[in-house]
Amino acid sequence: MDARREPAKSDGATLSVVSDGSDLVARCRAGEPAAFRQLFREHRTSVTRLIHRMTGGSPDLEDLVQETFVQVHRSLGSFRREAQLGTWIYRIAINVVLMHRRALRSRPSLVPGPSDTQLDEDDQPDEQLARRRRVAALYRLLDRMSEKKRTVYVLHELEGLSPAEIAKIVGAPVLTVRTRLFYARRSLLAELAQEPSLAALADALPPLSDPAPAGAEPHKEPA
Amino acid sequence: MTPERIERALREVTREARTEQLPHVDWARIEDELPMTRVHTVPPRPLSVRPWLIAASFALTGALGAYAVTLVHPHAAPVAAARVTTPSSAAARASANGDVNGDALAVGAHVVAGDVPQSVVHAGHARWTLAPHSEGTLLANGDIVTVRLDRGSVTSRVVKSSRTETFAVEAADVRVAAHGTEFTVSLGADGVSVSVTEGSVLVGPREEPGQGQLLISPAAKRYTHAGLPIEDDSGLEALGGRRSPSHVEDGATAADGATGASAAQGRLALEAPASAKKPGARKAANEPEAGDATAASDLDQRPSEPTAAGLEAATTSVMRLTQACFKERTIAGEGVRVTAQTSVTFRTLPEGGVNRVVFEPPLSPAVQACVNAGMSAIQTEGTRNGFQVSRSIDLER
Repeated sequence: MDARREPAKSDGATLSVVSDGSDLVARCRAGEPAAFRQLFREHRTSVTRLIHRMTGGSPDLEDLVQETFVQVHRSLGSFRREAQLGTWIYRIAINVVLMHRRALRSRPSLVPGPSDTQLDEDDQPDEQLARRRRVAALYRLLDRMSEKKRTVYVLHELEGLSPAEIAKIVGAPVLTVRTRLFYARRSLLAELAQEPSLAALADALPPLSDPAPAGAEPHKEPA
Repeated sequence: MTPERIERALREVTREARTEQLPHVDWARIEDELPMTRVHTVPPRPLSVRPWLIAASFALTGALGAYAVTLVHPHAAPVAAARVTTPSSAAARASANGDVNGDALAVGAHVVAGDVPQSVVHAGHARWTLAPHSEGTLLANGDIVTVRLDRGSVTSRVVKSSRTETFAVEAADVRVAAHGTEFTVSLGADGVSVSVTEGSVLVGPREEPGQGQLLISPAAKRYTHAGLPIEDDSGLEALGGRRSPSHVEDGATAADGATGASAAQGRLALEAPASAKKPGARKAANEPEAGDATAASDLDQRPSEPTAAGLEAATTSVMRLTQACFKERTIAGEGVRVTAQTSVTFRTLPEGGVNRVVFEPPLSPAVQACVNAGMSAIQTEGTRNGFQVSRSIDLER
């Protein structure tokens, strides 16, 4: 994951160079002023995306991103290169999110009424609005899940990481990650129908073996 | 709905979430507040005789420049300099934009602003800006930054953090603690003014961190030097804030109770919900015998949001009721421990009281029925439109 591919232009062709971040870490440790800025710019999108997905669109997104990079900065001295830089930063981001969620759990929060969000959303085209609602419903389902299951589901299904990579991030055996993934999926499948927008999506899906409409030309495979 | 359709729906919505666009993020602001130029945090140096001597000699030799930051006691030797120079460490030298690196300041550093505002930046943590001709002293540096306002006014912007309290300003005997907030504290001859423009602050006695009255933005309030709220709020508008919710309620305010109770002790008391202090208030709102006009007027005067204490009290009541119902109505054999984790959402009525409690995932019908029966006995603070609260809850029998 950390082996970033940095596109480099050369006579119209796009090359990919692989960087493992070790040079960047060394420069950060040496106190090079621009190094941490570079590290931030290289990882900010992936970290923000991860936090957004882990929190399901929290209004504190920017603060959590900032807190993650502050923690990264503070901990750079203890980065041992046992993990790749990106994996290590992901681990920190996940910890920041979990701390945030625990802090939220310990204090009550005012919930905006349904009318508060209705106005903004009504301005959007129907399909976009429906899609946003479905994604929000998925995040609600994920929110009810245990932290361990939610983390592996987000990392695997949304971030596209392999169980082996996730195992390094969460510090658990690969088999455990697979087990959590199984239960996370099962939990989502069991509760999906409770969300009206997702139930509607399931109902609206065409059947797999959809017969061809009458009069339509049967599809012919090329010889 | 077949399992196959449900599975396909999950795949589809997961794909949609994967391709969802990220919300707008202000990268420039985040980058601006990140510690870019240093790698290792400078640990705060304890105030001891040696730094004092170093600072004293430094002050004697070179601190008569335009602006000065010196390690002197604010009341023993007022700094006459009008510009910031280096204190004990060159790292604290003002940057190109004139800001002082707060991370390199030693505990006890005294900062004096000249004719222009002077900012001190703790990278990724907080920025405090002294108004012209104001003075402040750094009392703590590190995970928690504490600044004593010696003269004038200081505006602070604090980066939100998962930790509960990361920044505080002390003025006279008043302590203003922030968590993800922009606020101004002014020290005058007649008291201390606190104005919150973003987030919330806890204003309390200097000697008791964690105690006090919560001010939620936008709000402004004045306190005596001893930390007592001043009920005459004339001049609040000049601070650009509004009265805190506890001051809008009819007649005697929640803060009145705090004032009376704490006057003997000479310090603030934790703000309590108005409904708890004025049992008659809710009845009056519910039964407008005095006339509809009076009732409507009472309604208009209700705050739009509950006070922090009112919010906490309502939440605690609902949580206790739920716990009690769960224990009473959950069937389990001897020695069997039953736990449940859910989130509770409840809505209050404008005149006080709870009218709906929902659990997600739901609890058993028996527990829900018990909660429904018990919620009518819960008293909450009256607000203009009622309020809705949601939080997680762990239950155990």
